[in-house]
Amino acid sequence: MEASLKRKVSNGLLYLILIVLAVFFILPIVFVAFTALKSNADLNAHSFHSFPRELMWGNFADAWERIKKYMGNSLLISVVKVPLGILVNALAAFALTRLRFKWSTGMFVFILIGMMVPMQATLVPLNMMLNAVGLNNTYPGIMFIYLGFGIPFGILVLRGFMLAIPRELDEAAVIDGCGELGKFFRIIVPIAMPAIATLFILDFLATWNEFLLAQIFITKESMQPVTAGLLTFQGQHSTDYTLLNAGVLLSIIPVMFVYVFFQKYLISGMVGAVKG
Amino acid sequence: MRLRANITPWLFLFPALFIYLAVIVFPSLYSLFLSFFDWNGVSADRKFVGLQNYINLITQDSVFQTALKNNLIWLAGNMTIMIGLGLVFALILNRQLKGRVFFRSVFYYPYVLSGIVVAIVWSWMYHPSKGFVTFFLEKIGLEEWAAPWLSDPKTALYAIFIAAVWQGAGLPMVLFLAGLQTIPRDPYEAAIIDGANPFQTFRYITLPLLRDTFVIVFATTMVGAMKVYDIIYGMTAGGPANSTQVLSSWMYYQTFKYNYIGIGSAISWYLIFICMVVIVPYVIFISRRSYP
Amino acid sequence: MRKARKWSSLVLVFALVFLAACGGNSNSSGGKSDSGGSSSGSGSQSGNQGQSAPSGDKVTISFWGLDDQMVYLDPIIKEFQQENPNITVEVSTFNTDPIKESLKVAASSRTLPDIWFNWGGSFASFYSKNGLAMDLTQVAADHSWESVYNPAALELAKYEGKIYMVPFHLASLGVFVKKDLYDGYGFQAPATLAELESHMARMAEDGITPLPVGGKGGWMLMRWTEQLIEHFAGPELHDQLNALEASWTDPAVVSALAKLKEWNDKGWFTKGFITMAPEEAEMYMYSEGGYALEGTWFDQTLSSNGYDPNNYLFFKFPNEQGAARMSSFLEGFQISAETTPEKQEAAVKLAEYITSPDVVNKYINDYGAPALSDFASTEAAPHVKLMAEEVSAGNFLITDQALPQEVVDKLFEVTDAVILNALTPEQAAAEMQKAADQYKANNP
Repeated sequence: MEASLKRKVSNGLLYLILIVLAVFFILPIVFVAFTALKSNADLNAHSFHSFPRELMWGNFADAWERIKKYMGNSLLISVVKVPLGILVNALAAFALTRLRFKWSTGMFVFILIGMMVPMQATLVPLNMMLNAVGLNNTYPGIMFIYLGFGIPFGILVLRGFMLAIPRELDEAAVIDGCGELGKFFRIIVPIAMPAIATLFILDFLATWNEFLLAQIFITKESMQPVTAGLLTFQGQHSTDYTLLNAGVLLSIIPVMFVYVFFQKYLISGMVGAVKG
Repeated sequence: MRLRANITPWLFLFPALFIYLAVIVFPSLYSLFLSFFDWNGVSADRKFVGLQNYINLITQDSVFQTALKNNLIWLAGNMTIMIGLGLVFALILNRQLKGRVFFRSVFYYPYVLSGIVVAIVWSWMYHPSKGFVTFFLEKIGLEEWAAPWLSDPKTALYAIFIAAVWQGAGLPMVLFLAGLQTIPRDPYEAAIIDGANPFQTFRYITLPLLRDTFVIVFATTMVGAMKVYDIIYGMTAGGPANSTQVLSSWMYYQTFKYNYIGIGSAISWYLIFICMVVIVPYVIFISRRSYP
Repeated sequence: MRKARKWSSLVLVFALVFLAACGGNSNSSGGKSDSGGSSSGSGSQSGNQGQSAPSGDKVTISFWGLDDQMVYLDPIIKEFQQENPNITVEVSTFNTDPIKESLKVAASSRTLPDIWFNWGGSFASFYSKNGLAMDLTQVAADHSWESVYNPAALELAKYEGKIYMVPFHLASLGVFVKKDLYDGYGFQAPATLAELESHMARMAEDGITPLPVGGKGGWMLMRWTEQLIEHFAGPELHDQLNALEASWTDPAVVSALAKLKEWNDKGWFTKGFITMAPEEAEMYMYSEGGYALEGTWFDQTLSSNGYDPNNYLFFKFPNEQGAARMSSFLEGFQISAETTPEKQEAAVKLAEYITSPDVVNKYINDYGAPALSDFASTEAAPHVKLMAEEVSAGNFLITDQALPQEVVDKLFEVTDAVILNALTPEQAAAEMQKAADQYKANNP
């Protein structure tokens, strides 16, 4: 009796803490929504967290008009680059974990160090390289760059998960007469689906939100991603905050959609990474 | 047969390695090379100065010193508070609570926002007259605390840090949740039979079995803390009086505003070096354990 | 089955979003400013000086400009291409800070466009002094620029006596305040600093913040600092200070910084202004009151926020130094020195077209402040013509373009520090001089 009362109280306390924290976490985005629904005059005259005096739903339509082409570009880049990156990283992680290979640890360390390199340091050499092969201002060019920056974390996650897959499965594949590639596609990849889904979410997010590289390597306005598109709400001397906030809310829809869709895989996918 | 066995790993590695070498390795080596020069990036005048850039930064550049200090403070804060909060969330939300999926989403979604957006949102929260934080503090009777935090060099960085915790606690939470789910139930059951209380369970069972998770959380958090840029620059532009500069923003100034390519490269390599010193031993340690 | 349905619904949603996004762009290359492009990705041929233009007279040039100028530049460039069918212009647009970064990266990788927008002073001089921008002095002489452009603009387009920019906007700065606020007090435009301060004091008594300045990034506060320096130092010393020829430890500098501190101590600045975003802080001025030290673009800023520029009074900052020089700067176009002569010719043609009186007057409502010696006035921007006339009485280059960038940042840093009581004005002045010396040592 006492034990279950104790549990009820502790659960109740837990819920209280969670709800208070949840309010803290949700509040800021609620204010973003308020701002998105205000007129400029309303925003100037009242506090930032006040409820809109008049609900300007038209702001969303206006913002959408302006950023829809950028969102299309971002979608194109992300939808092509992310699966491609996963394939490239999975192949490499497979090699590091499954194929008898003397330098697998050293190679892994070598690749991991890449995670520490700040992007600003690489801008000029990369720009020269892209121009030299005529890939500047092209989607293949920027995707190549993105693939590069995604490799360290991608291999970290996939390698970790693949290490946790029992070796017996490999041996079964050998008996069945699969080559290495067959083993990769028919056995390892399906089992690693949770990790792949996880990487899909995190990599999609990273690609969608990427700004610095896109700004330098994509100068054609018709090709720019949504991060650059949101900037167009900021002028040299004034910023249209209401439309900007509306645009931000619109721009996170695809990312949240991807998250919700792959949600159930997210937790078990990271298991591989954390086991190292 | 032996020849084929030797080439296969390289074939699988080839795409990743090729891209990695082209995009990351060679450009960073070029940047390392440039860090030994005094150059503006375009003129024919390129003077070799050896380690002078590195030395000057540490000894003479007061903004670099501030930036380094800020990054270390940021690192300490991330390692303790952000990871700690993520761990607490994970521990609570690992239990069979109703609505835990909802809570997990709530604590994770700020991570989806870009640093620039978080900066705008939280600058407004902190606005001295129109912001919610001020309003809230007044409502609960703590007006004395309502100061313009972002404009005081003593408090600005910490105010930004609160915004960063809001944004970033979701990632360690997710990592820890995964780690907690790999812990088998047997040790727990044995502990309960033996009469252990929750704290002892946590300390002697949970914590050791989370060791692997801790290390990866530390690694990604550390790299993120050393590279932090958007949220800080977005909220204060390095001010007031350059007191919230960090390595990434100072590197940006040196390279793109003042045209000191060598100095900017040196700052990058300080950053990389600090990360390497901590993370490489970690990786080697972990790998040794994965290959018994 | 469920999985397949889930995946196909995901794909469907993405496809819909993608189509919706692209559906609005009927033209093949999409984007509003991407007027026809050559097939290869790179428009500039920098570095390939020997290579002649493709067959016949056809030439393609790459143009980099600012996002918020495209409202009028887009139609202008289209018209230019119609009038010059042999010239194709590939337009890329950037936001204010990204364009500076992108230009630097392009400069270092030798991939500058054929023509780009830039600010004058120490922004443009980087390209001028490193041989990246074309020397336009001869072109200016041949095309009689002195009869087209405002002389102040032509001066500001020069580096070491040679012209390196095609003048586009001549911006000058002065003080704006709400007319009905002033009328309510019965104030006229102040003639002296003391008078201005008395007006500020009056506003402060009524609970209005006289100086709704946003200090983030330093440049808005700097507009006040530099006018105070002009007041205490006088034009000659001010120019010498900016040229790093006079010492910044001069009492005039100390007085200017002390005056700012005095204003802050009186509570005349918005609370917590030092890291507040400039546009946010200034919003207060549009509706409540106080002063804005703003420029020729201000009419457009007001309109875009829903206020009528005609309700605001303008006067030059009363620095009591002769004709009261205004702070000013030039925005213009630079042309690549490393591209082919045909492209340079086309680029010059484009720049001159954009800044020609007919075109300017046609688009005057959106154009901003032209650098021309004469142009039409407009109801939408009533102060532009007025300020163009006032600036002919005298101007100095705005500080954040006059000084080298690292010295500018030092000025921002020490000004902040003085306001925060971390440094005394004397110490701040000493720090400035140290930074000036450091710069000269690094750049002999």
